[in-house]
Amino acid sequence: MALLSTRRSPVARLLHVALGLALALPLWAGRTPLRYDLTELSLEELLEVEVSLASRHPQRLAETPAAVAVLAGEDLRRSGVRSLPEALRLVPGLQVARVDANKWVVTSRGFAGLFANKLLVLIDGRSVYTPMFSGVFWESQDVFLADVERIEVIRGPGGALWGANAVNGIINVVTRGAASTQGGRVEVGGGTEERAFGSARYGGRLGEGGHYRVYGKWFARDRSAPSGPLAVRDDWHMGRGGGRLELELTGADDLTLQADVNAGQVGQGLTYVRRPAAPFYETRYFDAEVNGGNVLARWSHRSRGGGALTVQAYYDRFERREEPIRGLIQNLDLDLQRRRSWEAGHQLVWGGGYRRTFDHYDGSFTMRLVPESRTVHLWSGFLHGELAVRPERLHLSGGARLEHNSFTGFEWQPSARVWWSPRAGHALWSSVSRAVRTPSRADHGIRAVVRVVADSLLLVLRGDPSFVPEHMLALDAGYRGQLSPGVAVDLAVFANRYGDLQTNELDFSAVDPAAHPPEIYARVANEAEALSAGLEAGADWQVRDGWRARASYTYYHLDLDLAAGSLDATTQGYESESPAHQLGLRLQGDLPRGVEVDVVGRLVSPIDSHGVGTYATADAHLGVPLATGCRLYVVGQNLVQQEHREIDSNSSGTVHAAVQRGFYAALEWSF
Amino acid sequence: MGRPPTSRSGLAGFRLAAAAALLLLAVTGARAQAPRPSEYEVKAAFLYNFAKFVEWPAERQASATFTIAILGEDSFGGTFDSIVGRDIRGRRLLIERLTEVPEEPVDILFISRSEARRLEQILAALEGRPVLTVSEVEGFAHRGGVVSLVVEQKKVRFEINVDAAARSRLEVSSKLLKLARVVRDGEAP
Repeated sequence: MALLSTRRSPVARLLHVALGLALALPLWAGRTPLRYDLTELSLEELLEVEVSLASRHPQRLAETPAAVAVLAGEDLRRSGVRSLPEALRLVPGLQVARVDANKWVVTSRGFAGLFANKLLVLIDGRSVYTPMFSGVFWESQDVFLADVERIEVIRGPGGALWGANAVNGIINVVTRGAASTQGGRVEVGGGTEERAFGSARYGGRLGEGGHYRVYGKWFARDRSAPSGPLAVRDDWHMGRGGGRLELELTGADDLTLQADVNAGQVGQGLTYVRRPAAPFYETRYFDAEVNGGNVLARWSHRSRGGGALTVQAYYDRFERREEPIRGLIQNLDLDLQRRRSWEAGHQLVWGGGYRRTFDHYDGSFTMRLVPESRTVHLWSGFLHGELAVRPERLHLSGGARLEHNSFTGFEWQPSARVWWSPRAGHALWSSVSRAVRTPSRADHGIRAVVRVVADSLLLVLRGDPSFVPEHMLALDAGYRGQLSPGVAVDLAVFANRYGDLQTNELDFSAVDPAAHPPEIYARVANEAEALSAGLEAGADWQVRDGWRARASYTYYHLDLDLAAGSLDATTQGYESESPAHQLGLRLQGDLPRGVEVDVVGRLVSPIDSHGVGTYATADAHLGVPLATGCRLYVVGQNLVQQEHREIDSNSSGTVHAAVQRGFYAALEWSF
Repeated sequence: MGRPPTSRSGLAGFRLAAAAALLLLAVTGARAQAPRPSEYEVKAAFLYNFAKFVEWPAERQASATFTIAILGEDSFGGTFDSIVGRDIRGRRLLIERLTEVPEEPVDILFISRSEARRLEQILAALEGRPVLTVSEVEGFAHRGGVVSLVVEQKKVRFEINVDAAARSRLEVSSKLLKLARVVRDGEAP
């Protein structure tokens, strides 16, 4: 389907001309000498040269045999985003759709949905993936973005290194070390959608080799616009605070301690079957209360000759209380990793871990989990090696992870990869891997009244303890190249085959006519398989001093097949829940006197099953330095339309909302 | 399913914005200049300049080669490729990559961030040797190294510990000292 009109309007013609000019520029650049010879400059001139801090280890990124993208903290700061899901929109290849003011769908390579369950998300090594429904409560991952050093995103299975549930990708958020966040920083701002927000952070030294920081933040967000007959009350507020301490124990040992707590109230509007009698449905507005905390300790030891040993332990507690159900999840995790590298470029990483997950759910007539409490023990071990067959030219790597889960037994996830650089600045890579998604608590024990059938029967979704893990086999390949000093290109293609995918089978053998009202059941089962394929392309163009453009395009296609005899009615919907095409454009400009301007635009193709058409959005950010250490930001978000819909969460009954255009301003002061 | 009315105005708005942006690029970037250099390209240029503006003791000046060695993780990539073999006051420039402090003489030793934890050991092993130690590790000059390279507000600056330079029998040209931030032993950072 055509995304852009083919009419010869003046705008279209202008676009064609500009596009032509823009594409011709790199060809001109090819005629100038390829290297910028700084040794010709005098000392005084050298001191005036401004450097790009794009990446500390550009080679490392270029040598990774996977579809990896790194979002630098600097990019985050300049984009004006104020939450982690909004930050993830900047990563090419990810699908991020806003459901309402406090809910997002984030997925990589398909299977979108509020409960997108094939993505593993880590914050400083701590998993924020919830085993309740195999997904992430994004509204609770209120990371302090100003202190994020980078966000690494790997699209594609990462089971071999990262573990189960990293089926479609891994998102790894890494915050800055305490030594890099010394001094104080205060930020205050507000606007139309980002109603009010503030944060404060202070970092200092502790004795000889110690650094610490403490921070606190709070925000209030406005509700979105209704996109149906029902009112929307999804405004919310949340506070978070924490700290980090790093100690240099000896010349080769470091100890890092981190802790965070957060609490908030998140507005919900839910239409669901609240009572076992007519009218059954009720639309309720309430605040979901969320709170949580975590404490993490990590010890790393560097040995001579290029090796490192890391031992990490963390405790994480998460609680969410809302009308249909209240849940408490506690994780205790112990992880060990040993890395050895050789001068020739070979590497070996191995390790293991143990995680104990305890949960407890207080349900209601509408939704409960059986059993109410459960403790799961997860043991894991992994081995991964990289062989530099010809250093900087051909690298082979492979590995596997073996896990034992106290409810589903053993699972293994192998992966093999090859990376080849025929010429400096160009590389091709390919990989084949297997990944699994272990069953969630919902898969095994949910009892949820989904809807009312024929005005009198309740359709109840029931989990099944015999639900087995979903698995997939992925074939990936890609190309990364530096076409000229200022233009870099990144291409990835993939084909995934999924098996034992979750379905909801109408189970007529288990109709309970004696129940009041009578109930029919849908049982969670593994009766679907699927084939998906796609292309992710990105280009990075340093146009000239201080001007940078990045474009990305994603194509995705999914073919899902139900097993013969399957009585599932909803799973096929996944085929259209990820848009077939996504186009992104980011422009960054550095103006004189330290003024920064950024524009981010997106064009997304329709999600027909949700009645969401093609939409385009644009965000703009302007940063102006006021005095030393003081900065003013003005940001406009979702500028193209007054309001637009991105996705619905049909399955969960959330009141339909539309994302609104918004503006905010903030003042930041560092001392 | 018919297209909802909102998407058409959205598309027009996007086309306008995209056209404006590309036009701005085309006009302002009339001739694409070289991109902003990376911090390591600038640091490499500084190392080359240090070779020109520092005097090594007689025993090193007699050598046919001038060695710049990188200790630890190498973030320079191919930056030095164009200057290898150049003439530094009659000596031929060589670049080496090392994982340990070398026994053989080197003239400039760049200590990478990856060796931050071993700084004391490295400096102790080089004591008395005529090596110009340069590093990007925080506070290197205050910890006994000769030159610290710091990135401040996107520009590379350098600090010189004149006492450490004297201990290594190196004579730093006044031209270099004038542009550096001078540090002495025992000074607080």
